[in-house]
Amino acid sequence: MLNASSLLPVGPLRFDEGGRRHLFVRQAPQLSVPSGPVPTAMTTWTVGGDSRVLPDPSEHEQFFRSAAHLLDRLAWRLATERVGLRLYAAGDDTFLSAVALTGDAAGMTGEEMYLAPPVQGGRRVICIHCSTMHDDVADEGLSCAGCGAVLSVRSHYSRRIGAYMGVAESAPPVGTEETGR
Amino acid sequence: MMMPRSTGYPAVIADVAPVTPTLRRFDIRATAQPFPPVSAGSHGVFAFGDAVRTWKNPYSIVARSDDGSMLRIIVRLAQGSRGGSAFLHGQGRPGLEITVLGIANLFPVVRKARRHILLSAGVGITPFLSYMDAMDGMGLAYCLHHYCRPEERQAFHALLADRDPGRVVLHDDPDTGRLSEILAAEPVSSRLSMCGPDGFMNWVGAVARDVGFSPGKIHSERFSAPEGGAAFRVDLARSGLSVSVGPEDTLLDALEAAGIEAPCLCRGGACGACRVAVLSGVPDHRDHVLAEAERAAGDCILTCVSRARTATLTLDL
Ligand code: FES
Repeated sequence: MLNASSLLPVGPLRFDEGGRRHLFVRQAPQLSVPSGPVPTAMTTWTVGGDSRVLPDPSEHEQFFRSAAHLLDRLAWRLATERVGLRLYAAGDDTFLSAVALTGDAAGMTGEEMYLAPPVQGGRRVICIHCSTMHDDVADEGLSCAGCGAVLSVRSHYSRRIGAYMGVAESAPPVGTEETGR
Repeated sequence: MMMPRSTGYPAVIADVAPVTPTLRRFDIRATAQPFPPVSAGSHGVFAFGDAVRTWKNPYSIVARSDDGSMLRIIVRLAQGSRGGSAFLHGQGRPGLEITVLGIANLFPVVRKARRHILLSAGVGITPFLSYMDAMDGMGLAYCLHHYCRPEERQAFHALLADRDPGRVVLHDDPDTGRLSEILAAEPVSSRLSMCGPDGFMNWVGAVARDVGFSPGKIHSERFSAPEGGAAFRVDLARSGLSVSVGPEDTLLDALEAAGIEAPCLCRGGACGACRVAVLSGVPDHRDHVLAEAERAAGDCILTCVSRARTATLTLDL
């Protein structure tokens, strides 16, 4: 099958101020929302749903049991949607291309759809601050389920622990603080 | 251009009819070969005049007969104008010779979009008359909102009488709240096309962006009628010639009259084909093509509409 997302324009997600309503669809709850001030008319649709990640109470978030379910609802939503919507998507190649196809079919253009760089399959990530292990991390960052720190996933993989290192963005360099609580 | 401008398609005015007090419809009949096929949104450059002078003006082509023998245009009489449009209003009677120098399309229908909202004011309705014919043929959904003065309402009503009343709306009051409602109700797939005076298009563009139309879904055609101004002189660096541009001439006309092969396409400040480098002097930009930075740099000029702020300009011609 054609790797569609290699042809899709992808980039870090940022809210487009030109939009009047914003819909963020993501394949996993760990995938972070677009950057920039969160617009008031913003909805997040998430596949799965994970009790460890609490949705921001200021956001409207809906959970879907599968990507197919979400995509189905997306097609229906876009068919009835008015001008002014901006669509953002995060997930793997397959998910992003399906979202882009759905948007194209609804008559949206590249200026109205934003795709995050495709995530690879999930990785195992350990929080270096509290040693909590996270499975199937699809994004470059996550909120630690143990200590709540906002972690960024380093490219360093520890054979010993069998996981990638998750480091708090604001933390001092690794090794200068105590790990564990 | 589809024909070299020295030849073009010879034609005569076959019929003239008033549309409004300031708009006049001309049917033009080819006298040699038929006119080429014309896509919706095209304009032609029409050459006409008298013993004293010739004008070469762009007008949107409203319709072409199936056999290519006729073209229809609508010409607006600009207030106080002594240009080509005033000549056509005054002297454009059946039998007057007109040459169609060429036909080009800078404002084609976006065929891949299923839904179109068209906004026009005054003579800006002309490209949409051909749009609506094409869209009816292609099965595209559209709605035209045309803005006019209250006293012109009857005339535009008559002009649009044979159109689907569900697809054309006349407005004689530019109400921002109402426009905002109309645009915000458009489906996400909708494309907006607009044509009319600058003030109108700035207004529509601002309201459209405000309801969330992305810039790429806002299409416009902006032609400038070349307007006169102070006389100036251009020195041509390559050929060594000097050419004077009179108050009523365009720089492009003056160059052509001096036998210079100057590039051009639309002759209305809309395409950028006539761009020439300016080596010295300050241009007075009147086009709709150059970006702000290019205007400020002042190192190029679109000869079809723009003039000079200084008494002379030196051009790279
Ligand atoms: S000929 Fe088109 S901008 Fe001058």
